[in-house]
Amino acid sequence: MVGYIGRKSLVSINHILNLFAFTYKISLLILKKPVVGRAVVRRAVIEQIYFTGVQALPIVIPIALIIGSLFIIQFSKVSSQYDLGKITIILIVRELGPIVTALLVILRSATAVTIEISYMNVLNETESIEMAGIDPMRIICLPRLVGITSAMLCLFIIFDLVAIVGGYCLIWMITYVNMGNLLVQIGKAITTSDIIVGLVKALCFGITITVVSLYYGFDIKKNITYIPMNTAKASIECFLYCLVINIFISAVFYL
Amino acid sequence: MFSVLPCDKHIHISSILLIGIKLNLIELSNYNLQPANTGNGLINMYFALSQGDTCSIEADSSDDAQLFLRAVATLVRPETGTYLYKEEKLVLYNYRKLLPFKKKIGYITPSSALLSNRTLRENLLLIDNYYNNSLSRKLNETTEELCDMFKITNKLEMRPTNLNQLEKLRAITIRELIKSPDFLIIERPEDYIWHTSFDEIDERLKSLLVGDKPVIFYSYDNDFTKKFSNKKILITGGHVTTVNNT
Repeated sequence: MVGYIGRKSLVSINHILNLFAFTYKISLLILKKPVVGRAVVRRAVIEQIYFTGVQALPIVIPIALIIGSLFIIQFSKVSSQYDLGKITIILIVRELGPIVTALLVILRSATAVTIEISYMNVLNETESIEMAGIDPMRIICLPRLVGITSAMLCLFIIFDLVAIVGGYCLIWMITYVNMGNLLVQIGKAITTSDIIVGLVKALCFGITITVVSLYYGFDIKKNITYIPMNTAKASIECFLYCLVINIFISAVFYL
Repeated sequence: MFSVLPCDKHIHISSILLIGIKLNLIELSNYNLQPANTGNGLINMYFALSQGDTCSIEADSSDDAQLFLRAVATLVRPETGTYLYKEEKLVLYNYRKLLPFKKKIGYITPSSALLSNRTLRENLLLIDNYYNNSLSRKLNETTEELCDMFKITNKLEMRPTNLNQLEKLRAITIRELIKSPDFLIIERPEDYIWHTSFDEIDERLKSLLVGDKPVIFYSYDNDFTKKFSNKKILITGGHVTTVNNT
């Protein structure tokens, strides 16, 4: 039993170290500025932002509206007991905003990236890129890292704005619930650190989601039956790591 | 001995050829590779390829033949061994350092692929676009000519998933030929070249194969092998020997 736990722990530690090494390898590509290939990489970044960011808007906006209005309805019931502005900031900007956005990005993009890269590996497409003298890390990994992380940051900002302002407007338009001066309270309660924490979380989640999904995509070993397994593992791990990072960042900033 | 020759590379090489010494384009020595699937792997292999060589492969296991082709294309890393390209040692453990060399190899095999999220035109322009920092490059005359010959001109805006296997292989052939490779690796060319536009492609191949560009090919077609090869690579039990065709 002890041996089993020990072996499992070593495997997990090794896996996490591999993820860090992979992150380091991709990060180095951002610092390097090769003369060639910029146009191709730029195009891939834009495509990734479009897929992860723009195409996700029809899903993110309704979900943000629903979550925002639900919270505002519940808050209106306890408006006399608590500082609603502060509670809204804590729940939506600091915690729920980044996590819900991350969850949506995982469901849409992380799974898609793992499957796409897995297929590219199984069908020897990465090998063909290498045979063209092009670094696959540069035209596959770098655009996805930059694209998904940028899209994640934008989606987080949109989610927060829609959840708070959109939720307020929706409730104001379709119900008679008395919300008092909620928007003013939120305006007073929000601090720079709240915005920075939210952005830091979104940034870390973006990097984590991209690295984990790419890692499992490349870890396919030319076997098509691994694709569904690796996709499931990648999405679960992405979400787990996002939750852990969320707790860690909240602890660092607020404890 | 070579130091007395002029420094300029072109003059240097031609001088060597003139005095009758054949410079090896690539040279693999002490190469050991584990079997990929069911073959024997490659044991302590030595192989050299020079200008004008057209090598055909005869192997007791097709897995070994494919492993050999992948080894020459530096797509598999050996357990031990040295790979010299124009007498310069390649760093086999660093894939990034191999990329400039890989670009000089025309690798045409059924396992080669096109990028499925790009159109055929974009696939053919990938190297051009990448190295010229542009997305607006156009197919050059040779490429258009090859597309016409292989009858895929009307499929250029399609993605590879919309093409049949034969068309994909033809597109891969064009992509690899327009790279202006230093040497070519072709697996079972008769499968997708032999049957269509026979005369025209035959001529084109002949100019490639009988020309100065070295070629290694693995064909199941004896006629094809007889027609083109001037060297034979025999792979038996994982041991590689090269014999001249007489």
